[in-house]
Amino acid sequence: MKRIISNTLSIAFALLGIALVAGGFMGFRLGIDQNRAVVTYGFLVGNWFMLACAVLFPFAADREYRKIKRRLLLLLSLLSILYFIYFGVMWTLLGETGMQVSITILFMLLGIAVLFLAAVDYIMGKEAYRPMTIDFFKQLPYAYFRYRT
Amino acid sequence: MDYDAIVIGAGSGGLSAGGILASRGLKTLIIEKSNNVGGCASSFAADGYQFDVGACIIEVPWVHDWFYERTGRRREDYVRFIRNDPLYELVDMMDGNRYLMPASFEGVAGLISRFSPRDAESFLKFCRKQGAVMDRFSEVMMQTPQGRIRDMLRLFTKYPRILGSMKYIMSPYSKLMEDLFEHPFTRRLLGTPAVIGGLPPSLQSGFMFWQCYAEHVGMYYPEGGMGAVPRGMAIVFGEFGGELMMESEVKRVIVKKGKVKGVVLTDGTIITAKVIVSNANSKTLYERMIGEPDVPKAVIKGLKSYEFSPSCAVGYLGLDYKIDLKAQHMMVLADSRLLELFWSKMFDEGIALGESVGLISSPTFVDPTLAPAGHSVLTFITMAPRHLKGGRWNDIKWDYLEKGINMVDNLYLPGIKDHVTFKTIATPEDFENRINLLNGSIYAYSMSIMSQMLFRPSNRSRCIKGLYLCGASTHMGSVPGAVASGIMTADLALNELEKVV
Repeated sequence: MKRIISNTLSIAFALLGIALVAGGFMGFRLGIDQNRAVVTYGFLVGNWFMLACAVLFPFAADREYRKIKRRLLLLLSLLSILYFIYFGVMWTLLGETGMQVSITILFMLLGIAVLFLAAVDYIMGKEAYRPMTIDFFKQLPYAYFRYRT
Repeated sequence: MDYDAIVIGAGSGGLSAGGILASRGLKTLIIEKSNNVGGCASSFAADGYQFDVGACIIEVPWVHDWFYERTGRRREDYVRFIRNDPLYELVDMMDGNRYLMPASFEGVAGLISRFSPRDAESFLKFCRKQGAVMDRFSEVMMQTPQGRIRDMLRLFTKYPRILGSMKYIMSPYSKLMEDLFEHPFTRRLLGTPAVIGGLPPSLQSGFMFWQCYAEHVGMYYPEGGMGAVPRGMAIVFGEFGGELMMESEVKRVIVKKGKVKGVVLTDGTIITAKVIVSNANSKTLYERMIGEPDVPKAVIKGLKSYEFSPSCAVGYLGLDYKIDLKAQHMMVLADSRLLELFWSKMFDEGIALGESVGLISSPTFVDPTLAPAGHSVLTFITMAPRHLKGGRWNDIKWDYLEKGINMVDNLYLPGIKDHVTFKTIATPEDFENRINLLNGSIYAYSMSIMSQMLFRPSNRSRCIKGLYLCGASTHMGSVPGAVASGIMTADLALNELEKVV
C-alpha cells in the first residue's frame, strides 16, 4: 500500500511540475487580471496543498526517509508562500508585462523544484537506491567547497 | 632556489612524481618523515621475516610499467611481478566450505556454474561488455587529471563509451549484484570487492565491479615483497640524480603572495624550490603545513567536509613452519547484509570487531625468501575504526591481535597459533602516527561519488601557484591510483616549469 501511495505521489508531483512549467509559459498569454487570479490560486492554494502533503504523505513513506520527505515538502510550501508574498508586495507595482515575466520565471522555477521533488521521491521510494541517495544529499551542500579544493 | 622541485613524502605517488621530474633533468628532492619509502606499500623486517606494511596485492600492473616507460627504463630490471593463480582461497561464512578463486574469467564462470549456470553466463556476458568498458575507462582516468570541469569534459570525450555504462556506475553495488545474479553464492562471491573498495555494498558504486574484473585480468605479487615496488622507483629516482632526505619532516610550506617558495623542516632548515609536489594528505598540507590566510576559507571548509575512507588494523605473524596453502591470499565470503552490519558496527558505532578479518596474505607462498628456510610469513588485515567507542587502541591492541590470531586459527588455518614465533600489530592509530596516514584511512577520503573526480582535491592547487598534490587524497584507488596520480602531477608541474623557463 505504502509503495502505491508513494509512487502515485511521485507521478502526481511530476505532473504538477510539468503543469507549473507549462503554466509559466502560458503566463505570457494572459491579461493582468487573469495573471492575478493565477497568482492567488496558484500560490496560495499550492502552498496549502504542499502543507497538506507535508503533514499527510510522509506517513506513506518508509521510516528512513520520512523526515527528508517532510522537509522537502515544507521547503516547497515555504517557497510558494514566499512567491505569494512577493506578488502581494508587487501587486500594484507590476504592470502587465512585469507580471507576465514574473509569473513565467517563478512558475518555471517552482515547476522545476517540484519535478526535482518527484524524481527524488521516486528514487527514494526504491529501497536499494535509498542509502546512496541519502548519502548523496548529505554531501551535496559541500560540492562547491570540495570543488574549490 | 635550492631545487627545481621538492616532493613531500616518499609514498608511491611521491616517488613516481619525483622519478619523472628527476628524469627530465630537474634538480629534485624528496623529503620523507619515516626511515622507509613506500608508505602503505612498503615492507619492514623483524626477527628474520619480511612483512608487508599494508598493501599486499598488485593490480593493474601497467600503471607501474608507465612509470618505468616514462623514465626510459624497463620495469623488469627493477622489480618483477609474480602472477597469482589462483587468486584466493575463499571460506564461505555461511557453511564453512572452501573454494579456490581461479584467475581466468572462464574458471570463475566454472565455479559459479556449480551453483547457477545462468549466473555464470551473466558473469561472462557482463565482463565481456561492461567489464572491458570500465577497464578501459579506468585506464583513461589514470591518465587524466580530474580537478577541473574542462578536465572532466576531456575525460569523457576521450572515452565516450563510458556514458553507456552510467546505468551501472550510478547503481549501488548491492543492486547490481541483485540484478545480475540470482544465486546467493554468486552474490557473496562477487560482492566482497564493494567493501575492499572502501564502502558498504549499499553505498558503493556499481563501478567497483571493475575491481572484480581487474583482478582476473591479472593480480600479482612483487618478488622480494611489496617494498620492492617503491625501492625500484627510488632507485630510478637516484639514477637521475634525485636526492632522498629520510627521517626529515616538513613543518611548513612557505607561501608568499600566493606562490610557493620552499619548505621549513621541523629542525628549522629552510629549503627553497620552484615547485612543490605534496604526497601528504591534502588536509595535512593545507590545514597544518600552510593554513590561513594563504588557504582560502572555502578550501578549508571543503577539506573539513570530507569523510574518511575505512581504516584498517594489520596483524603480522612469523611462523615456524611452512603453511599448507592453496593460494597466497585467503578471504571470507559474507552475505551483503552481514557486511553492512559489520560496517555499521565498526565505522558508525566505533566498535573494533576482531572477527572482521578481511584478507589474509602469506607472501612466502610465492616468495619463500621472505622468511627463514622452513618458516612462513602471514599478515591479516581487518577493517577497524580509527576512533574507538570508549577506549584507545593502545589499551586493546594486543587483545585485538590475540582475537585476530584465534579467528585465523578457527576459521582459516587450524593449529596456526601454536606456530607463532613472532607477532605484532599496527592499528589505525599506528598508521596515522608512523606513516602519516590521516585517520588511518587506506584510501584517504571516502570513495563515494561526491568525493571523487571534481570533488576530490585537485592535482594542481587552485589557490597556491607552484603547488601540486598527488597520492590517495587526490585520486581514487589504492597503490595504482597513487602511482598514476604521481605521474599526472609530474606532468602538470613540468608544464609550469617549462613555461617559467
